Amino acid sequence: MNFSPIKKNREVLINTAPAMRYDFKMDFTAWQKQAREKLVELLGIDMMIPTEPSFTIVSKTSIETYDETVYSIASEKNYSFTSTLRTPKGVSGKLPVAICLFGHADDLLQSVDGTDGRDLCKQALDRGYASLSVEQRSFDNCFAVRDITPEEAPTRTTWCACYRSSMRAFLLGRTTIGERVWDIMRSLDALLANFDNIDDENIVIVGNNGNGTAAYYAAAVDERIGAVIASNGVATYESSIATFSHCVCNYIPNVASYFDMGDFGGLIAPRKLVLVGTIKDNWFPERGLRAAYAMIEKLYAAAGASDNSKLVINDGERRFDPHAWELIK
Amino acid sequence: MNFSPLIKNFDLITSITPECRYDGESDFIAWQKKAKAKLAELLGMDKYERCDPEFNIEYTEECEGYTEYRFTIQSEPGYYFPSVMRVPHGKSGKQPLMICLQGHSNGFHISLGKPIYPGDEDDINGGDRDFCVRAVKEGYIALAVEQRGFGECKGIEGSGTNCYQNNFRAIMMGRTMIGERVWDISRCIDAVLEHFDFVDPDRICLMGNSGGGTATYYAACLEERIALAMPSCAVCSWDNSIAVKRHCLCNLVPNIANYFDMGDMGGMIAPRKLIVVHGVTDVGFYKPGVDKSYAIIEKAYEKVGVPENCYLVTGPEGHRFYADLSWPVVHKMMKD
Repeated sequence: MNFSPIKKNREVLINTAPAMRYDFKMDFTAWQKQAREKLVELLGIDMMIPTEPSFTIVSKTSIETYDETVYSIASEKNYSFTSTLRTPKGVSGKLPVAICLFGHADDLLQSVDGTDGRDLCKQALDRGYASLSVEQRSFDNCFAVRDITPEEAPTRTTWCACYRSSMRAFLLGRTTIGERVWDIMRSLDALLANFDNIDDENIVIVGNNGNGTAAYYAAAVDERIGAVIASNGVATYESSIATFSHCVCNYIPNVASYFDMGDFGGLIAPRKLVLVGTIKDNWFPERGLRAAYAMIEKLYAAAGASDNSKLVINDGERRFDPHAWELIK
Repeated sequence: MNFSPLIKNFDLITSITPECRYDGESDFIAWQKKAKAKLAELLGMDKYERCDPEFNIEYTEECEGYTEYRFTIQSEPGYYFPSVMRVPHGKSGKQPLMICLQGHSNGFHISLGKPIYPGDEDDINGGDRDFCVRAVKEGYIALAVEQRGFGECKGIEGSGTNCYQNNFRAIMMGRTMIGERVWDISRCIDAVLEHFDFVDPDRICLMGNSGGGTATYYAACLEERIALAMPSCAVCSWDNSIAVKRHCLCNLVPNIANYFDMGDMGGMIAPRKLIVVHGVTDVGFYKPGVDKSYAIIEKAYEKVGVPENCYLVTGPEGHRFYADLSWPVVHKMMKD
């Protein structure tokens, strides 16, 4: 006699056939359109209203090998955030740009100086990209210090205030992850409108862990993103966020009724997609990653772009793998 | 320049006029029908599947002053939960029932006044949380229901609650923990009416404190067999409760703020009886939010012509139940 609602809901999840999974019969482009609309609705992005961006250059700094520009924009009425653009020195013409996402376990400073693969911006710059770090909601500067309660503060190695912000978002029919995707899109608008040295046909997005998840969703929604490296952040729901208690910002109400993680790969096709994982990952485990990728492979084949998706599984720790950059060339 | 998503989203919550708020003029019954349909949708009530309850009495025990039954039912295929009912001795005929829901605690044994884990005695002795003990003394049949995420129904061993993991599995599938708890209460009422013919179907009451109060309120909105609901330390506007302070995620109903604030839902309970209980120094459900919600509830009850069927009990302390203040109101409303 089962008294566990966890077990009950796990069974419901396993037995749920996602209602908007591609059936491999209908027109693929038509499916993509419907599926993307549904994802936008589930993320709560359809509730968000654009506003005058009030683009402002906050600072310009010349560093040894790159130039750094920090700008702020308003992505919604009464919400602003900063983005940091770094462009390698001594490069002429239009630059490809890598949107580098950081968050729960790393921060803006580590994006250039960090160890263990956290220095995504440095990796991008070393490969000739401009890098764009978008300050995400509830991380680093994008929360109020008072959001952290005294009982939370001693346990936090980095600042994240996802819990209460996400609760408020959910009550409103929004999601934190949808808000982050929205901000990425608005930052990209501002970048392309104000920096004429950026190649708008060569935009990639990269992230590790929860930021890998965010990169994946952003690429599914924003077709200007030409390539995505989602590292240690994609696996079937059953194997990952529906089994382990991940940060609240990962969750999307009702998503499992329509999609599993692998299905979103079809929204990225035929653009380039690299999934990175590790056999040591307990949060987005290998079996779930492989199961999600099995669906992605089929979707890329349906899109006539089988060569454009790649899966890399390492045996190291849950870190971004710099070799993945080679796979999106 | 605001960089805080917390501030941004709070501004949104406080500036919304909920779409399903009663306008004070249109046909009230028609509004109730539409509002209940919307609330049921938001709670995910269409996701739960009826099944054979497999009703099973685990034991019947004669105790001092009452007979105790422990039974289990299956409320969804593959999910069961226990309930314990105490029937006071010396009564005849059909008797009133008080269903008792604990808030976040070690389990429904708190309602029964039976400590199991360290800390239970403090819970039982402070805050009138032994709901069933008091209900029997007041002459009611008392029924303690174990809610999902608590006690024996939390899915892990040991004390405490386990809402986070439960909640997000539910939410991802368009379900909600509150909806699941409301469903379980309704299935429990089905079982009680079918198997215990001494329960008066016209005098089914439901009470709870904190998380139990929340479940009480939502259940009463949708379950019309509940003649009287007594949610304690739970009915409070979003901006003075779950949207302003860190509360358990099991309180969450996605998208609800676009349709209802807490007070708006009280109209779905009218004309049935509603006793809202709160403590003036409650720091999880602030008094201004309780007052604001109750003002909306009062108007709804006036509209239906039964202002005497709702009441606000104000306790002098904080987050707890106030049995001495509340039970006289129960008796007055139920005329017993």
